[in-house]
Amino acid sequence: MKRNRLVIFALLVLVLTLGIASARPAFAQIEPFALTDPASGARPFEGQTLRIINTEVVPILAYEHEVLDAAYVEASGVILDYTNYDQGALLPVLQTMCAAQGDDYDIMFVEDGWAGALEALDCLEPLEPYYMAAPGDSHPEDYTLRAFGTVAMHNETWYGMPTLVAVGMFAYRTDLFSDPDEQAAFQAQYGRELRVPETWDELMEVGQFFTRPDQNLYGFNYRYGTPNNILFDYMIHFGFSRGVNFFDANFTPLFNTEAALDAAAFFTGADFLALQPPGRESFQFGEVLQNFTQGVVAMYGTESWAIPLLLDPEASTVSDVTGFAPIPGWRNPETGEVQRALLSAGPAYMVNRNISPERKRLAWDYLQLAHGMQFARLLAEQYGAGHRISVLTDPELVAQYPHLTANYIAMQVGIGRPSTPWWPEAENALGQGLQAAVAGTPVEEAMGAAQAEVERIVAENGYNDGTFTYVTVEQREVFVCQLFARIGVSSPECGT
Amino acid sequence: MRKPIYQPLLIYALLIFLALLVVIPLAAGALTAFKPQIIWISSPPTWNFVPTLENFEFVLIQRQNLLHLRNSLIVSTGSVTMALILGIPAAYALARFRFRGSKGLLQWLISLRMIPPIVVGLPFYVLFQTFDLRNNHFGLMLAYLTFLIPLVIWMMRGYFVEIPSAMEECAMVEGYTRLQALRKVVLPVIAPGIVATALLNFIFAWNEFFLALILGGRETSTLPVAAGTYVGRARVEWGNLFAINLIIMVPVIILTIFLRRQLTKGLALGLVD
Amino acid sequence: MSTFSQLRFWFYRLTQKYTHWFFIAPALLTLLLVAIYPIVFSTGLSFFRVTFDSLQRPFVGLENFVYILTDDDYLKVFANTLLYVAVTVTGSFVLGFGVALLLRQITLGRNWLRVILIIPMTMAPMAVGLTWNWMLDPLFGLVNWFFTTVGLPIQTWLAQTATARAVVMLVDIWQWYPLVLLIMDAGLAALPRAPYEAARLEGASWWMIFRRITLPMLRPVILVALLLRTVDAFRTFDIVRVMTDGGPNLTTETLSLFLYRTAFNFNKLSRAGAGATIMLIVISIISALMFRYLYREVEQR
Repeated sequence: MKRNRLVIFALLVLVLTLGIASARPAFAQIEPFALTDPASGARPFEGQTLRIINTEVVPILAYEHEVLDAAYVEASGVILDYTNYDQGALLPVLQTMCAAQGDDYDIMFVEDGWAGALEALDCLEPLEPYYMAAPGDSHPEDYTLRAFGTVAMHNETWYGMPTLVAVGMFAYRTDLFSDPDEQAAFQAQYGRELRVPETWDELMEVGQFFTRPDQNLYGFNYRYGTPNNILFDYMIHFGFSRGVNFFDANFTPLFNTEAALDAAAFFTGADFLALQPPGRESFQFGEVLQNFTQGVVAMYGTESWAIPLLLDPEASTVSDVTGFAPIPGWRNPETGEVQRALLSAGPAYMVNRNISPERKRLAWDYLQLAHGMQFARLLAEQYGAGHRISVLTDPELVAQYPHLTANYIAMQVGIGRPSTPWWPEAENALGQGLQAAVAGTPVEEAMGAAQAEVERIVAENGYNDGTFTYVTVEQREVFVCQLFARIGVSSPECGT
Repeated sequence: MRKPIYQPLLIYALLIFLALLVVIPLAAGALTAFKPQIIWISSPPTWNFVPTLENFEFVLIQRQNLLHLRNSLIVSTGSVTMALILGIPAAYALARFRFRGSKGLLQWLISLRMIPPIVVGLPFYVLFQTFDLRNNHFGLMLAYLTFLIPLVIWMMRGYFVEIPSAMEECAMVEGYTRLQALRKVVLPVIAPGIVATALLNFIFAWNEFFLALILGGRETSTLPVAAGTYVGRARVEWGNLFAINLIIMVPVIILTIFLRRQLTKGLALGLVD
Repeated sequence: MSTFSQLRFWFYRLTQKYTHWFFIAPALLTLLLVAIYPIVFSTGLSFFRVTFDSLQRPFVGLENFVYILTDDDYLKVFANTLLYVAVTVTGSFVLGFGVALLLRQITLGRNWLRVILIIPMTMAPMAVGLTWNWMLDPLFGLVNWFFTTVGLPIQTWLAQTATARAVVMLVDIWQWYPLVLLIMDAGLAALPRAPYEAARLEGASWWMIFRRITLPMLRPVILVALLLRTVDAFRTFDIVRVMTDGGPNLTTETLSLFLYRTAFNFNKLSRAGAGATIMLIVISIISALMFRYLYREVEQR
């Protein structure tokens, strides 16, 4: 009898300590453990199977798996078991799994916008303790603050290793832009030199110049197809550079401001749509990519993940004449400066909180090495793709792939999207507003309706009463620097 | 009753036009499955190319969709068998006995088929999580019964109505129980009907997407779910997609061609009550 | 021993009296689990405020119903779905029945034509949608390639609010008229010959024969075909999801897709539950009406 009481008491104490210890941001400590290390040949996880739930149709991921996974498997002796879903289905599958505390997968592919929803389901394992116990090759300080704050963290907690960092990029046909006949014709028509557009006005002009339906050539293309797609291209390519943001500090949406309406009017205007191939109202990722790789458009506002595919002669008919530049920005009439700011977003591989401690260590081993610093170089060497500072600024690689510099600039100025649990619904409402504008609703009316709908969603979730403040991109940077200070790494961007 | 000479020509023209509407998209799609990536799409379409099996290799080996093929076979045959075993006796009873509420019951059974998949998806998920049936072949079969049993009962009932009840009454006089009479005397007569029912249900089970997506998992996902992975946010991998589409379609088409006589005969038998 | 035989006798009486229930029970119990439980569950959800992170949030009464019935999008999508069902069911029926009649008129190649024509029905709806997306692509699709070759302008039907709905419906009809064809063909094959011969002797026209003999005799089969199509049309999900994902501007969204988004993407499980409950009520009413008609016809005969 007495012994039983003792056991119960002990359990109670244990539960309490665990509960206190697991309260954020102080994490339960993890004992140092051995990691796979190609240099020393250590293979502590040899023979185990790591289960990853994934989506693979973002082109860069296929290239990543080809290079990184092969290298990791060789170094570690771990078996990688992928289950692929199409991206539209992945969030529902993850949500249902997390709601039921399922442990079917060790590592999950999590988009930046989903982290809030999954955190609310208590499904994400914080990585800080693992870094403290065994940092390995993870080097979080090797990412720009914007990229790491958006993709790898949710608010103050570090949850994942970026699978990729998506930033807006501008692809163009070098053969068209360097053709002397085209240059002469452009000079004659517009009275200035033909060059890759740097501002919206130039984009419009150059687009007009190249739009020749009889030759099956159009100026450029953007995505207008689904609410998610249209919102992204609006924000990445036009909104942010015009100074639009999603919310102010009190979660008041900012979609009927002068800047937002201005950008929306430009992006959904008939003149702008006319310079794009037929069917543009329904273009999604796939169509805009196809159009460019098949040589139908002269320019293409894309994202960095598409780069390896655009340079792959097996996938693109224009791979040898594809150049990259920063996206065109908005010229501020007061300062005369070209403003650029673009979305930085992307998925990270995160660890399922409901798996066993042993499996979590295995998951961390994969993350720190396969998505670590030395392997990142392998990917860049082979495919010209990179997300880490060490790769984007490497003189040798930059000489081989000049676009890495543009990519680096984009990653420093990228703004992330919100990741509150209700964000997917708000995203849908905003995208529908933009689509209505494309379909002919006046911009003020369409964006006004979207604004009202998002206000309603914010209020319904209780985010409008001051209990929550919108985490701006600057605050995210502060969170990243705080994390770096806690784990003892220095980053020039933090001034340490 | 003289027919104008052009009438058969018109009929043929119309039917051939409709057949072309089927053949052209499918043939063009099938061709794409054998095209290398660079010409999956092109303007104008490329017809001259060296066929390659790389799409099939990618789908079956690299992405391991052979496993999904196996899952599809297990789940579809399993669920159709279960639906037949459960549905045939019920259909028999509904055809032979007039009891209070039999009409209403029949109506209610068929309207169950209308339940949108979204309604059953989540409850099943919660239930299956509790009983450890998620990511389990049996669980998926069970879920498919939602829309299979009503169709089985509905079709099979028609066949039983068609058969004179004197048949099994004779057998029962000879000393068979009702169940024996059903199995040994009635079922052989309506075999084409069972084949037709099984085939139609197999098609529905084989092509099911939503429930397999939500309730399946690493070891149980079916072919349509696997096909979905080639339709990405970023792009549709047309060649791989058409390759897996062929793998999904060919078995069903072969079955249909093979069983077409039973299908027509079975449907004719069942639905004209 | 005598109690045992008494028991056996009693059991025998029981089986004799309630044989039908012994036959029906297994199917009924299974359906109770796989169909009734989900309905009860999702109807139950709709009286609470439930999200993925908590399956037992507060009871909110009719809040979700009020919300969804005043939601313009839901009402719009509901109307869309009704239109979708009406058009695709009518379309697939008319075409399917028509082709079945035409197939009777020919002999050469009839079996092969029939097999080819029913192929779409054997395809996964998702594959059907994607194949047609690919065919209709403005720049790379075969349809527009044909159009530009013969000098017609490029069509972007799927991108326009005015035409997208019609295209999706046509594709749905393309996939499902074969089912009607199959059923009606079977029905036609089973018709007795005597009335036709009599009519022919009296010199009745084709139309008269069709109106007075074929149609009345086929009525039950027609109703079966209509019912099956209606039931399935309400569930439409895959085709629309892959072809337009509900766009442009919600014109092609169906209820299944809308509720899926509400539940799984927006995490509003109860709201989706309320929407689904209303949908279930409406379709039960429709099916009950069809049934009443079906039975009346059968009994008249």
